[in-house]
Amino acid sequence: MTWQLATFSILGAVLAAGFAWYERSHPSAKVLSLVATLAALAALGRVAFAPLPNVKPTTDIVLLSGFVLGGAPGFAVGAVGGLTSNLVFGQGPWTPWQMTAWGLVGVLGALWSRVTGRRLPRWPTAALCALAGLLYGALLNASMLTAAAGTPSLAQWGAAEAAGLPFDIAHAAGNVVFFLAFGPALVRVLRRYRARLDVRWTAAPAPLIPTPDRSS
Amino acid sequence: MSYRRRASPLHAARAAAGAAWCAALAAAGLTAQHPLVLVALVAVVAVASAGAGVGREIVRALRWLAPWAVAVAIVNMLVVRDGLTILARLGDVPPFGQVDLTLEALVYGLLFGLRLLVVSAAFALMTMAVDPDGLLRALRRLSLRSALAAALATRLVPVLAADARRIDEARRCRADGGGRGPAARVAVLRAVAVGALDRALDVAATLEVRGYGAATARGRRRVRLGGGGPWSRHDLAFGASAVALAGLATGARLAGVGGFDPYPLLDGGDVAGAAAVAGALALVALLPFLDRRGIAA
Amino acid sequence: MSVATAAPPRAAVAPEPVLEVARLTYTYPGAAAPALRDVTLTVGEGELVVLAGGSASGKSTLLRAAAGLVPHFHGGTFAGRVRVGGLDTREHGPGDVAAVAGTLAQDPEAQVVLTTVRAELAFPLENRGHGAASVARGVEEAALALGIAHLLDRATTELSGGELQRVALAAALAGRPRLVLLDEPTSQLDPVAGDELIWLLRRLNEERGTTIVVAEHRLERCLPAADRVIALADGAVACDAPPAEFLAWAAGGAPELQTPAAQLFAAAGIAPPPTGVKQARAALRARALLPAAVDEHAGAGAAAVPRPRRRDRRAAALSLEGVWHERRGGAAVLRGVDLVVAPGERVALMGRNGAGKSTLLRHAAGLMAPTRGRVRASGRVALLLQDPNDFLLHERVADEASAAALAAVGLAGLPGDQHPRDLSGGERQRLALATVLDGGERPAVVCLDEPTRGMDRRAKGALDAQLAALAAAGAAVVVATHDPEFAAAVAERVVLLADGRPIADGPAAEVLAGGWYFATETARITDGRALLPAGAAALLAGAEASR
Repeated sequence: MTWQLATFSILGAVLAAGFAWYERSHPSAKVLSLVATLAALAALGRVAFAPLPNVKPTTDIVLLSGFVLGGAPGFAVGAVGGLTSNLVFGQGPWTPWQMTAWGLVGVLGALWSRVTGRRLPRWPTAALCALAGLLYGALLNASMLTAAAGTPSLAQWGAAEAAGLPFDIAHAAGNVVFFLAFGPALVRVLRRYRARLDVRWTAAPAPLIPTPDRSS
Repeated sequence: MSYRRRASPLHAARAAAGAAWCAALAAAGLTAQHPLVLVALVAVVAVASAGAGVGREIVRALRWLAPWAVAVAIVNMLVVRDGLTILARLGDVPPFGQVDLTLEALVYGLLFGLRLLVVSAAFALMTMAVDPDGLLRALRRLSLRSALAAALATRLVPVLAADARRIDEARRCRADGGGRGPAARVAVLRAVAVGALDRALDVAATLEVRGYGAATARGRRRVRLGGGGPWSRHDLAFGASAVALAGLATGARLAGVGGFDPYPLLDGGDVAGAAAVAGALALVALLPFLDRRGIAA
Repeated sequence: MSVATAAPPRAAVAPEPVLEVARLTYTYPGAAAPALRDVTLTVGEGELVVLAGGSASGKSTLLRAAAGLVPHFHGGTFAGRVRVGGLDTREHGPGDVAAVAGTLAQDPEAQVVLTTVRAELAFPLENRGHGAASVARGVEEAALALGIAHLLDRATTELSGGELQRVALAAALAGRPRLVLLDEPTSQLDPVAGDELIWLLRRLNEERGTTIVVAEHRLERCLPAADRVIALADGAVACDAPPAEFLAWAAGGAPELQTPAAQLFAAAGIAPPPTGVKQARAALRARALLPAAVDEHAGAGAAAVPRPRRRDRRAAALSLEGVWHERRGGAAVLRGVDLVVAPGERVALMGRNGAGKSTLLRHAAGLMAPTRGRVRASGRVALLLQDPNDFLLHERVADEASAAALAAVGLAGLPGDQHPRDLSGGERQRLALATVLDGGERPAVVCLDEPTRGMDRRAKGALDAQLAALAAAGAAVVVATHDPEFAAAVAERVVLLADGRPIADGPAAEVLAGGWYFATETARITDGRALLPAGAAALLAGAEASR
């Protein structure tokens, strides 16, 4: 019981910190609706490819959202996407794990944009997508151990990871394919939108533009 | 598997009470040690589902979950090597090393799977019987913007799904078919994303003209959300049941009633205690379902 | 907790106008030309003002400025002053303005942000800091005022576009704002739902005195109720006058803004122009130009649906033989449809929502297969679905369709690397048409599903010409539409569908003249003796001469 308490406390703390970070960033209506839209897209991606075991564009969408929008919105996209998609797939003790894992993937994307200086190198990013898939899988496999009677042994953990490995590899491979096919286009789309996020308006003095001649 | 309004006491209870009740049931599953208690909890979830009018759906979900629970049980049997009653010696099996199958490990694995089953079924019941909007509304008190984003995302998922259907239909109408095979799929996915982001700007404008900016300027403390009125008999019943379930499960665990440890050598454990705990849990959990007044959907 | 203290203080009651725009000039960020030029206008308490003007004339921008979205949400350069209910939008953002002005835009799906109707109506009140009791009361009142009380506990995803738009209007009205701003609220709705929404606005204005500013393409349905019409052209106010004066001005200054009734009167040389059918008929009756006795329903003959002959079938471009579509576990959408369309023929499919128009077109194009019966076409069938945006898959115009196809729809002048989403609405539709017409094989049949939704009259005219050219080149053209004026202009034959089968099939002049609901405005004025203003004017001239 202490094991479950401990893990859920850690997850709760990570989620609370992530959401507080997002909340403190005072997202504008535009950022909020963008986060919700991307989370919905991520959730929908999970639903659309549900027939293929563990192949889903969700991780890529979250990673690239973090890449373009930054850490706090990236985390929110991942965490909200996890929560929302489980409204379809069913909530469970895995929900906080998924929210945390995808939230962290969003933060990873933001870090990657720092590393690359906002450029999007094709193959390294594809590799990062695969890595994000494996990390996500590692966390999710561990979620299974919630149901262990006591603190699980290292061997149990290893077994859980080993059992999940084929699924994780499918996920990672899917991520690479999705990124190569879809990633750069998504980043372009997101950047197109991002340009409209920060608006500034200036007050001009009295209007000097003459009304156009309408006698013609 | 999704929420739909039905006439049942659980559906009639407010989201917070219903969710707390399901979570308490799951927590009871996680803390339970004795197989008797776990089996009783599976039965409780089944009866509760029937009482909530979603019995058929839960059975379908359990059929889905059962093989998974069995797989978990087998994996754990393979990796845990603490038991004394050896059933079979498998020799050296990579990557597990020297593997002895013991009766104790088998029981341990089965309990592991059973626990997963209880927890998953409790949450499946929550998915089907607790209004997600009510939950998100409750969350909005904690974190206005995150919960609003979640509510908006929930609203947008079916909208985007409809977009995707329409765009795919339009793609089939194009003279070039929008490309072939995977290329067409990617094109549709991209078009859905572009359309969704275009709409996001309109949605943001809607948020603004509905006063979102004023709310954030005022700070969430000043955004008062109605709690959904006075507590109904079902709210009270499920709320009380949730508290009692959690208390009972924790108390039993701390007091060591109904204890069970398959290692190192299997024995019956505290059967009498377990039976008492199982009975008490079942009674406390199912009592709220008896009151069927005022539940019309 | 007291209800009264929970509500924010309302702006002091003053005789000042609700909306005051003074010398407003505004340019969007990155735009070369201003969207609004030196606009000055006022709207008084209780007025219903219609904003007229073609696409991109500045109607939306003006409404955004009144809602505070311009400049706070869109950015750009802003000169002049806008005061809404006493709030200067330079100091107060859209969140503050929302307390005095409710706003409704075009896309119903983007107007509703939460998952249940009740939550949606409560949202603006909660944002404004109302207490629980005050929110509950506001929700109740808004729901009852708009007749959506029965929807309160429904999920927003289950609602139709018309219902969603009504919910969004209720949310805009929930705080009882003094002013409601509507930006083409009916453009994404089918005309039936659109009419309902306009009726609702008229009722709100008449019974509750709500001040309304609405931009709308189909002027004929709001002019009778309007106090004033403000016409914009190129971002400047071109006319600001009561409806009759506006129509008189439009006859000279902007013929594309005239209603059919006004066109008819202008062509027949009768003044003043009528604002609606009732007025027009009264004017004609006064001049003894309207025969008192109506000859027995001219459309009665057309109501009989002729059975297609075998010879016609063989020569047909498109032929449906006893086509049924029965949904699995659902109702039948098509019930034994027999329809033959000859090459070069232009047919309009009309009927209410759910009559089976879209399903019929999908069968023609092979998107759906009949559960019984046969569909045959002499060649490729091109189908343009309702929303042209759904056809835009690529990031460059040149990737969407070949240069030849672009030239064929009149888009040859566009730069190939422009983003399709940056095009205007009319251009996007032509681009979508290009994507379905593209390819080596010329389509034998061209089907369009509700192509005029949200189009201004000029764009409709262009589409009409486009379809005439396609038909002249030998393609059969089938258009599903709710718009009788467009049907009368584009089609020589009209098929009326109800409950999945044709109930009338014949020349447009017969079907659209004999109807009462499915009739053009001109037909309603002249008792079906003419469908379009030009024909009716000739008729009237004849009557005048013979008198």
